[in-house]
Amino acid sequence: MSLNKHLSQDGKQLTIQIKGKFDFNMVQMFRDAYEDVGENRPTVVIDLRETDYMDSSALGMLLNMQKTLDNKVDGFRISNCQPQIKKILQISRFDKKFSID
Amino acid sequence: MTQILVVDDQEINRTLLMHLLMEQGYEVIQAENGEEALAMYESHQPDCVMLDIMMPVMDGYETAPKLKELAGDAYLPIIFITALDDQNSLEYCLDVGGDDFLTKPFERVILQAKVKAHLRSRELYSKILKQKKQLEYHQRLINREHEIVEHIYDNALRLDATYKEWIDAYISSADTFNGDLAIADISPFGSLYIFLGDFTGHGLAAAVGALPLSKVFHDMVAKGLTVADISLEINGMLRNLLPDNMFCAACILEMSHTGKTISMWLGGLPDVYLLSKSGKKHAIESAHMALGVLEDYEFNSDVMTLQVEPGDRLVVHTDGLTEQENAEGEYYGEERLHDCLFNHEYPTTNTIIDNLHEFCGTNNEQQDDITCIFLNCKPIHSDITTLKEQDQFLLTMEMNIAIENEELKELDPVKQLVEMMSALPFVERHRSIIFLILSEMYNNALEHGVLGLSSSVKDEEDGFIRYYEMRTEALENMKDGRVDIDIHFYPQDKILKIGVTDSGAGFDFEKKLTEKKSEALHGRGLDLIHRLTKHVGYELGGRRMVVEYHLLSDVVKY
Repeated sequence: MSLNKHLSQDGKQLTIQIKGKFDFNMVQMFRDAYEDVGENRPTVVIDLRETDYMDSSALGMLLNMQKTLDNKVDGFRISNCQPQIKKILQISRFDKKFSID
Repeated sequence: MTQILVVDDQEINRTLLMHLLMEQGYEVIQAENGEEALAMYESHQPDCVMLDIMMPVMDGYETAPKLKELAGDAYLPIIFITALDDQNSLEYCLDVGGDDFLTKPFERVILQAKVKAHLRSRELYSKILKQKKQLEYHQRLINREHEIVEHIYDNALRLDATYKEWIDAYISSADTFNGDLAIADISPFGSLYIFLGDFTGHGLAAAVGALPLSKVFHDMVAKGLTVADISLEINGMLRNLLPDNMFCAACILEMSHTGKTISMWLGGLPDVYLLSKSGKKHAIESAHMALGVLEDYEFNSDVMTLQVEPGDRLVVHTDGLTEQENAEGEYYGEERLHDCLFNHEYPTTNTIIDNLHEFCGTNNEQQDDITCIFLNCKPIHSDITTLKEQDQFLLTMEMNIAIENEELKELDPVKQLVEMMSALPFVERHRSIIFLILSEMYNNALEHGVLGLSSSVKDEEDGFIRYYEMRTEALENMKDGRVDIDIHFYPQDKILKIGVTDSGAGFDFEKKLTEKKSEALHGRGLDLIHRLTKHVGYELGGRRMVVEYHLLSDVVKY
C-alpha cells in the first residue's frame, strides 16, 4: 500500500497513483496528496493501474476529493483501472462524475 | 616408424628394394602379389606402397585401386615399379591410381627422393585432413548450437500472431539472429504494449540482450506497470548487462484498451509517424537516448501521450530500413520513406517494402535488420485477455475464522482471506470484487456491530476523517468483541457464500434497509454489496449478514 503524486511541470496535470489496497487506511495520505493543486487548474488523474483492492471508503474519499477540488481544477480522470475495479466504479455510477479511462 | 610395403613376385627385386629402403631408415614389409598386398595393408597399415605391375594371382593394375579404396580418406602413395617404358602402360598406371613410377634398375638417390616427397605429401595431407575434420566438427557444433538458440529465440521473441488485428509488422533480419526485437503483450487491464528495439550491430552478438529484455518486458506488462517504469527498468538492466559499445534504440508504447490513448517512450530510433484517419500525417522525433547508455540518475523516463482515434495508425521502424543501400551505395533514406508514407492514401508495410525494393533492387544484399510496424488504433476486446479456467480441484470447501479482542485491533484479515481464496478455481479474477464485499461486511460488523459507531458522523464537514479517528479510538477502548467469518465454496455451482457475524447488539435491519435508498456517502457500501451479489440476508437479529456471490465467467467485462 502506497501512494505517489506528481504535478506535471506545466502544472496542468496532477497524477495520484495508488498501489495495492485503497481503503480507509489511506484517508490522511490521500487527502494530503491533493492538498496543493497549484494555481493552474490541473486535471486530476487518479492512476489505479497498481490498485488491486478498493472498498467503499475509497469511493467516499474520491467523492470527498471531488467536492473539495471542484472549482480549483479542470476535471477528474480515473485511469488504468483493472477490470474488476472498473466494474466497481461503474456499479457505483462513478462514470457519471469522473471520466474513467 | 615409417613403414613401406614392397610388392613384387621376384625375390631379388624385393630384397634389393628392402635394403635400399632400410638403409634410409624405413621399416619394410613384403608381399609377393596383389592379394597378399591387400592383406598386408589391412594388418600393417603401411605409409607407402611400392607396387610391381606383372604379378601372378593379382597384378598391380588390379591391386592399386583396391589399396586406394582401403586407404579411404588418407593419402596412400603408390609407386609403380616398372621396366616398361611405353607411354600407354605408364598412363594406365596413373589411371588406376598410381602416384609415381620407379624404373628398374633402381637408383638409390631417385628412390630416396621419390619416397621422401610422397611421404611428406602424405603427412601434409593427413594434417589437413585432421584440421578439416576439426573444422567440420566445430561447424557442426556451431550449427547445432545456432539451431537451438534460434529455436529458443523464435519461440520467445516471435511477435505473437494474436495481435495481428492491431499490429501490421514487417520483420527481416540480415543474419540468422535478429538484432531488432519486436514484442507485444496485453496487460491485466486490457491495454496493448509494444516494444520495438534495435540493438547495435546484427547477428548473435546483437541478439543476446533480447532474451532478458523480453522477460523483463513481459513481467512488467503482466503487472500493468507504466511505460516510464518499463523504460527505466530495461535501461538499468541493459546498462548492467551489455558491454559499453552496445545499446538498444527503442520504442516502448502502451495503447489503452479503448484504443484512444498511447503513451510512448522513444529513444534513439528514427522518427515515428502518426497517420490519422482524417488523412493528417506527422512525424514524432525521439526524445531520448537509446536504452542501456545512461545511468539511472541521468536517465529520463518521460513519456509522451498521444490522444488518438480508432482508425489512426502509428508507424515505427528501425534504421535498417532507411539505411538500406542500392547498388550505387545510396541510402533509401528518411526522405523516401516520408514521401512513401505521405504520397500514398493508405500505406501499409507492403507499400513501404515494395518501395524499398523498387529503390534498391531485390537482389541487393540486406545490410542490417529491418523492422517496420504499423499499430492500428482500435479498442482491445476483452476475450483476448480472458484467462484460462482451471477445472481441477473441484472440492467443496468451508472455512471458519474467528477474530477476537486484541486481534480485532491489530489484524486486517480481509486482504489475507481474499488472497487465500484466490487460490481457489474461478476466484482469482473476482478477487477485487470479493475484497470489496468482504471488506464492507467486515467493517460493518466491526464498526457498527462491535464498536457501535454511527455513520451519520460522516455527513458532517470533515466527517470522514473524524469518523476514522473515532473508529481508532473506539477500537483502542474496546474490551470484548468478536467477528466470525465463514466462507463456503461450491465449485460445481461456482458459488461463494460468505457470512459475517458480530458480537454486537444487532440492528433493526428491516427498517434500515428501507432507508438505504439515500445517496449519502456511507450508504454506498451496503448498496454495492446488494448490486454485486446474488443474495443478501440478515440473521440473528442483524448480527449476522450472509451473501451469495456467483463466480460467473462473464462478470468482468470492459
